[in-house]
Amino acid sequence: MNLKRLIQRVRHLVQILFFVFFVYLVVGAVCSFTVGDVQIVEPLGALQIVIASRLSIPQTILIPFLSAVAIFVGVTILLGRAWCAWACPIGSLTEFTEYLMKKMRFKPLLERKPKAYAKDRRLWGKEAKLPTLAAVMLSSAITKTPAWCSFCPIGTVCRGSVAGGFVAGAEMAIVGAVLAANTYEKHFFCKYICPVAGLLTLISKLNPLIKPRVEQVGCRRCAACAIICPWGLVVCEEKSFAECTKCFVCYSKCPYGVVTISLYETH
Amino acid sequence: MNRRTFLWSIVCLFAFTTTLTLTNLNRRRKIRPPGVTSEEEFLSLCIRCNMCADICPTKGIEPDNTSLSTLGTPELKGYCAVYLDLVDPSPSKNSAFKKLRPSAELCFRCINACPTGALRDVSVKDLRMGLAEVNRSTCLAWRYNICYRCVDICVFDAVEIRGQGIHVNEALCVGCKQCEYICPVPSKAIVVRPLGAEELEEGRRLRERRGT
Repeated sequence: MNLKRLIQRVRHLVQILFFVFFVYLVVGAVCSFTVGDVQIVEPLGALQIVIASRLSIPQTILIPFLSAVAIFVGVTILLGRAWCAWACPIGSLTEFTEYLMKKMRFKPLLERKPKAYAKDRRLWGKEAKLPTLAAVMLSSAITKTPAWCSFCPIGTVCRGSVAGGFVAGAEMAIVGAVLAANTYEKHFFCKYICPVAGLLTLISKLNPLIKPRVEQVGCRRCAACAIICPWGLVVCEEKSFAECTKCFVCYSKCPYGVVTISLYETH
Repeated sequence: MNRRTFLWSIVCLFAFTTTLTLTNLNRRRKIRPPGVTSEEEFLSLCIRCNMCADICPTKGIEPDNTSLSTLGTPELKGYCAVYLDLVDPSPSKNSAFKKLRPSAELCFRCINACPTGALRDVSVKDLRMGLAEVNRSTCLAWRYNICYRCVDICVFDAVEIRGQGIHVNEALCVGCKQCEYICPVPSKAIVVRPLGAEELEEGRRLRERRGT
């Protein structure tokens, strides 16, 4: 087995391990969990409660809280949005759904009409998750609760094991809707709505490590990478890879094999 | 950001706030885990990570899935372990414990686990999750002068025998729900009900006056 296939196998294995870890093993959910004595808090939830509570976090808890957030942010600066493709339970479920769709030879609705697809791209811009992020922040400021956390499908999946069973009640509908959206377009929720992905995109603009690079000699500008990439990045023309989740799918599947991974790159 | 994505964000914002406001109306009060001093403050700080539910030794804390705006917030559906070793309450065990330890303690694992301080670090003196109420028409002690299991189980001595039946001492009851758990009546003759903000404040004042 060559490296290109091996790296995807390894990624799927890591996804399964993280899924089992977050949903069944860990104390807490993705939003906040402990590994040994180290506590980690997810930055979107943290940002929301800072806004919602108007900075009234108890003094005694402030230092551990901030350091718990800093761990996640630090990992994001080092590895970019690797979270989305390697660890996120909803990302894993989404990829599994797409795998099933492929096995059943079901093509996402939008990909059946290339013309409408091109037109729709204008409406659902890739950066649509940044306005969603802003909307979530404003909502939490207005309602004085971390508004997104109630609906967040990532947290919902992890809470399911606590509630007994996989997911319960109204939460079933949330995860169901996210997975059903994949029949319209691949990675619909992750691409356009997920505010966690939006926040991680903002943070990973600082990330200089592990970026796909296209060898200009062999590339035929077929733009197949835009279809291959789960995030719709045109790898051969992309300047900043803030959106890149380090899933290495472009590396594995480029028809001419011209995509390589550079460990360190400055713009 | 172009005009369309901007409009999309506005739509998102309105959808979010409208749903939340609508679901906030007529919200049923809930019994929260220990350490919640005000419901509004708790809701603004809780990130719904359910660390407390995972760590609870009695598995009494469960995520609430009845209302959309508070989906996933922890609710005390079981009971709170007062002494850590007393995970399964039984009258004989509890009486033995009472003799050994003069003052009651709560395990407070959930408060220590909470990453955001939504569950505040409170002392047992200030703690109040709910208030037990006796239904005199179904209570076995009131009807037949038997049972008294809630009197045995209560480590705070809040359930007292007075006159012909049992009474709940409002100044001592913290609402740990052990009495409700142990009550043999199927429909539960002693039930802990959640408290409103005014009642929480009143209870604190009452306790200060008593000096307990």
